[in-house]
Amino acid sequence: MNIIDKILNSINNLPTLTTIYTQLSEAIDDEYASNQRISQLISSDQASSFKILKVANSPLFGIQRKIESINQALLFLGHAEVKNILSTLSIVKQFNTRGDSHGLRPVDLWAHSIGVGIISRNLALISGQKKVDNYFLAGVLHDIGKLIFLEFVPKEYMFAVEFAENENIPIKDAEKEILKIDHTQVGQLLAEKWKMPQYIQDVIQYHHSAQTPKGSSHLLSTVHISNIMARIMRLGFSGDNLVPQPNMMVWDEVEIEKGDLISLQEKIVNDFKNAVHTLLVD
Amino acid sequence: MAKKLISVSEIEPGMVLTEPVKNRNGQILLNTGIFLEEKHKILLKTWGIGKLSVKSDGDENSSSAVGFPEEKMLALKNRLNWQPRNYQENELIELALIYIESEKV
Repeated sequence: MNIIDKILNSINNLPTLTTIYTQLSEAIDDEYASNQRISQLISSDQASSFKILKVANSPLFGIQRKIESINQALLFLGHAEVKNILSTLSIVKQFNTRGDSHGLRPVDLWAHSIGVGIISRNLALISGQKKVDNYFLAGVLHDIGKLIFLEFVPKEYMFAVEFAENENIPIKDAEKEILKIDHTQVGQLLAEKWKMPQYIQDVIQYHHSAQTPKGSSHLLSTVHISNIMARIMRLGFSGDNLVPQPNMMVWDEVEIEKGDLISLQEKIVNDFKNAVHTLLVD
Repeated sequence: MAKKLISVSEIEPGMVLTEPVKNRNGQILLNTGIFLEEKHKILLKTWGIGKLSVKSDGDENSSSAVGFPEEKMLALKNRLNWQPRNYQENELIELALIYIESEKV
């Protein structure tokens, strides 16, 4: 079986997202569902609710008081945010985040993704975006294709990483060369299987160019910049060490004032360490 | 921001474009904020462009990019080899210089 077939088969055989996630998504999308109903659903899964509270209390969300119940989380963070936290947790759970496959640790790739999520959310806030619910999740998922490679064809993926390093080329080009398919394409296949919303699919597919056939968006441009910043700040490892120049057009989409990028770095590092710990270590 | 109109032959490397250069169809050939280089002289001439608008000197408070010293850019060269086109990209390079020595977090 060739590599592409092997990957496609593996994606086909992946389970759907956990039942609790599906139930919760439906409940949250149903505007008549009460907080009580939603919090009952989540609370029935102890492990999930415990983690949700940990994430909800992390500095990323900037809630001053301690959130002690799912009900409070829904109240302070809102339905969409809680749903996104649960999505993040459900998806991380589907992958092996431990160990070391052929010298490349999945935890480093995850850390890069989490770094991009953290920066995306912070940039959204600083550029005056009112609705920032989706930025963290979109950032975390942008490179999901790389995690699929590492999960299902680790040895071949390691070749691609080595090839990128030796040739000093972007990992995306090395993937094409070695695997004949790149992480944006593979990620898109998974996004379709897991029925992720269109804005997430766009981020997975187009975060390198920041342009979809229909144009760009604030979210897509933000993730594009955040991906470059995470590389600059060496948050995790993204498959190569290169720092591409942003697409010039993203600066029109995301308004960032002078000094903002520099002054954000401390908060980013702090949020990052905390989120990596909560999502990957505990 | 103070601008001045110059002709293609007056281009000096490091000048910053303050208005997009467009062809007859209105298509943008070079965008605002781009750092002009020697090669642009020939390019612009072959495109048939006469005049272009660049940032004029004595405009310290402008939000445009400043060039980075060669030796610093050299240190980044294996990872990052582009010049900033605006203050945001300036700050990205500043960040890259800060994190150049650091290990993976």
